[in-house]
Amino acid sequence: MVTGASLRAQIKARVGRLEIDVEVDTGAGTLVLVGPNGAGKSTLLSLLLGALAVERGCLSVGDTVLLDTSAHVDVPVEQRHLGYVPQDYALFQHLSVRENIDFALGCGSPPLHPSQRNQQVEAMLEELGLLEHAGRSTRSLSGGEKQRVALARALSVAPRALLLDEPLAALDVHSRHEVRAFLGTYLARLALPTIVVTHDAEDAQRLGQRVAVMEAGTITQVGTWAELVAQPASRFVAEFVASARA
Amino acid sequence: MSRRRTTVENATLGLLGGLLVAFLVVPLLALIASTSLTELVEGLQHSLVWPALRLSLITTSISLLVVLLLGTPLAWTLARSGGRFARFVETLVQLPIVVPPAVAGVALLLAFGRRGLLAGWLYPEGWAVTFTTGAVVLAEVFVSAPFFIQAATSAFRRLDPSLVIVARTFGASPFRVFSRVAVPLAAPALVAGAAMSWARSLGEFGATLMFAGNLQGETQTLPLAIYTALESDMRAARALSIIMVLVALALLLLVRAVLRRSSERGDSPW
Repeated sequence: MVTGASLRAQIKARVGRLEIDVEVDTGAGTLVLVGPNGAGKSTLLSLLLGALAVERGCLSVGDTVLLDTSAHVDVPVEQRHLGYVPQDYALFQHLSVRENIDFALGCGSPPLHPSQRNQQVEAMLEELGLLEHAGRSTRSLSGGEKQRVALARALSVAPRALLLDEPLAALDVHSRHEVRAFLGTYLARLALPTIVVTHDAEDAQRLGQRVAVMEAGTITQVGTWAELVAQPASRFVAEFVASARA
Repeated sequence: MSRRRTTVENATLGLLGGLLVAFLVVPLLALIASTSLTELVEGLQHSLVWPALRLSLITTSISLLVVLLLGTPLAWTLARSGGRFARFVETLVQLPIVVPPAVAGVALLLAFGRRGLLAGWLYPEGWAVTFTTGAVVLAEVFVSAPFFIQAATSAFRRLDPSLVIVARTFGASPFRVFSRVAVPLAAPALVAGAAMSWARSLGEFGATLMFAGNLQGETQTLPLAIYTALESDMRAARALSIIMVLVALALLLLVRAVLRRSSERGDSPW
């Protein structure tokens, strides 16, 4: 993992009717991306991953350039090494918890020696407190457990950066509180450049050091939570920070 | 609306549906009711029966294998491509479903026959696949593949696209995504599609008759044997028909069981 580095991107793209024109810099920690529905938050993650085509722009993590359209550099999804946890976690339902992580580790090139791979699976299971669930089918897990498996799977391949799309949206109110606390602490400890997309003000407040507001395809404000509260740049931001205090 | 009127309207709808159920079930009942167990056993001993049954099992197994090996990657490619060309190819490969079997037979002859479009390239030595067991397999693949392709394409389309993106972020190659993620997750639908395709293959008659002929032991499959037996021994025709109905019923039950089990488990493709 490239700790201490930051993910920097300048992206211009058109996806369907949405024009995306953004500049983001995660810094060394977690940047929370908020915005109204349809602002293009999830689309931006797909563009950063390389799953959607960018018209113009650049993307780098630390010194590694993953995209630079002016220099015709466009590293494919498979080689970007960006960890991704989508909203519904996208766990492979036909595989157990252990097999999900093993699948990720088995995709690397050159392939890891089986004993080394096994060791890394065990280490990831332990790291995320999943050892007791290792043999379970992912279908039978709770929302919070699913999220930890998805996180363990994404982190097992030592990604350069982490992209989480609405990590708490699929959880019920009770587990949401607990998982939020875990995720906030865990992400802070990881110190990996991370973007967390959320529409929830409390998530935004607790999951990252800085918050970027995205409206209609562009970033309208970036700052700490306190800065957003003190000087909201738009009506959306004012209502958003107010919803956390309500 | 009065309760009486509701009852009358519901009864009318039920009656209309019931008429169709009766029409669909009566012929099958007639087939079974008109054959005693002794007649069935005697019919099964007819010289036409076992060679046809053996040939049908062999050719349909081979054609199913061909359909699965070539049809699964095709369905995956079609499901992932949204372009105009992909839609055109999809329509094209569905065509054999609506083309009459006799037309399929003529088309196969004109393509792969001794004087067909590809004859010069396929048969430099003069030998031709027509009227051989190979022709039976080709006819079965032609008529049955679209059923599998349709089911598999729909199943792959229903897979959550983020599963593929996530797998790619780990560095998974396209073949690994296909074989380790897409195929296992779509497996219930693929099994159902394969069963429907196999059933179509087993019942294939027209294209086989025109392209492969009706040679006992070589190209005479179960439906062709029934056709032949109708002229000589009605008992054998009835026995063979009952076998085919039972096989079809078993397949239908298998498909329904697979789908029910998969929907109970909450598999994504269903």
